Amino acid sequence: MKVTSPIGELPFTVRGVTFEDGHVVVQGELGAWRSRIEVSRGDIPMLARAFRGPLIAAGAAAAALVLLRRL
Amino acid sequence: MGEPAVVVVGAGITGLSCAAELRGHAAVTVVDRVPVPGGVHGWQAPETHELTAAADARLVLGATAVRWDGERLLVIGQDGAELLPAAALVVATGTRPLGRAELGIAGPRPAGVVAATVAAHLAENGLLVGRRPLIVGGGDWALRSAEELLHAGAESVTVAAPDGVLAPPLAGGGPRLRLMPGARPVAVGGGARVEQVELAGGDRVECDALVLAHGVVPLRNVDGAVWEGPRTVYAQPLHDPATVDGARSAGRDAARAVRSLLESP
Repeated sequence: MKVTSPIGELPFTVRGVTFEDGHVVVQGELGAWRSRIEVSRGDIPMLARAFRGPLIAAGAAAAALVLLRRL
Repeated sequence: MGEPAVVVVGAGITGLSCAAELRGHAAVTVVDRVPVPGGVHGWQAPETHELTAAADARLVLGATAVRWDGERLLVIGQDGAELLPAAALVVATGTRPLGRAELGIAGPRPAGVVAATVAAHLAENGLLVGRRPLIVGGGDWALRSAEELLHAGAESVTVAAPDGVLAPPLAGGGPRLRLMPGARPVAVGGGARVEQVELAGGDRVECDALVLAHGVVPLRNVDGAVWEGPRTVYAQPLHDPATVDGARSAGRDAARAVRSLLESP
């Protein structure tokens, strides 16, 4: 995984995923820096909006594939 | 008796080459303020992987080298301050373009005057320092800044090359690129932001940012090693553009200088 930031493109290495106090916590390293990403219930609408396009595209592609197989 | 400790500041190709050359002769620690090795050549470059493996040095990344007293380097990183004892310090912190004062550009201090290295980096990540910037300089930094700024959406870019020299791709021009070989900015004007730049001869160029890309000087910001520091070796090749071969060569030269320093009383 990569993260692009004003100091450049940095590698993000995931070391583990845990559940803490209702949060999904992704532990990892941004280059040499220990980092963590916390996702809470309140972030779900934002994530849903961000993923809506790609999910619709993936769903449409899957539906098309199923349809083609049946023909 | 163990190997003497050597600290290299800068994990670019020069610093890593120096560390690789010192392997077996010194216990090397390489420090860099960015959390990945590779410097301007990047952490994904094959040379970065090759030299990082060849050096097999301790890497202290994402940490800033603050002060050198001839025996210890003070470094501040994610875990706080650390003193690294060393028999020699290698400064391999790269280069920078000349600053505004060094270029003799007078006038007030509006926002929008930035080094080309910063302007290019921000533009690379979608942040424009200006929509109509003027770049001082015609070399590699100017070329990279112009390309990145135009790519990021600048309306136009003016390039003023005081020495008249333009990197070949720049000299070819472009639809949103205005070239002014031989033009030398002498003053900047504006209120809160850059509004214009005055050239030697009196002409004025309307712009909203001034990008400094002229000249190549060593970047030195470790207190105690800015000038001739004690037991300090400088490895900062003044090439424009910076080349991998030039950086490797500077690293090898620095390693030889360190070995000579370690052998001296």
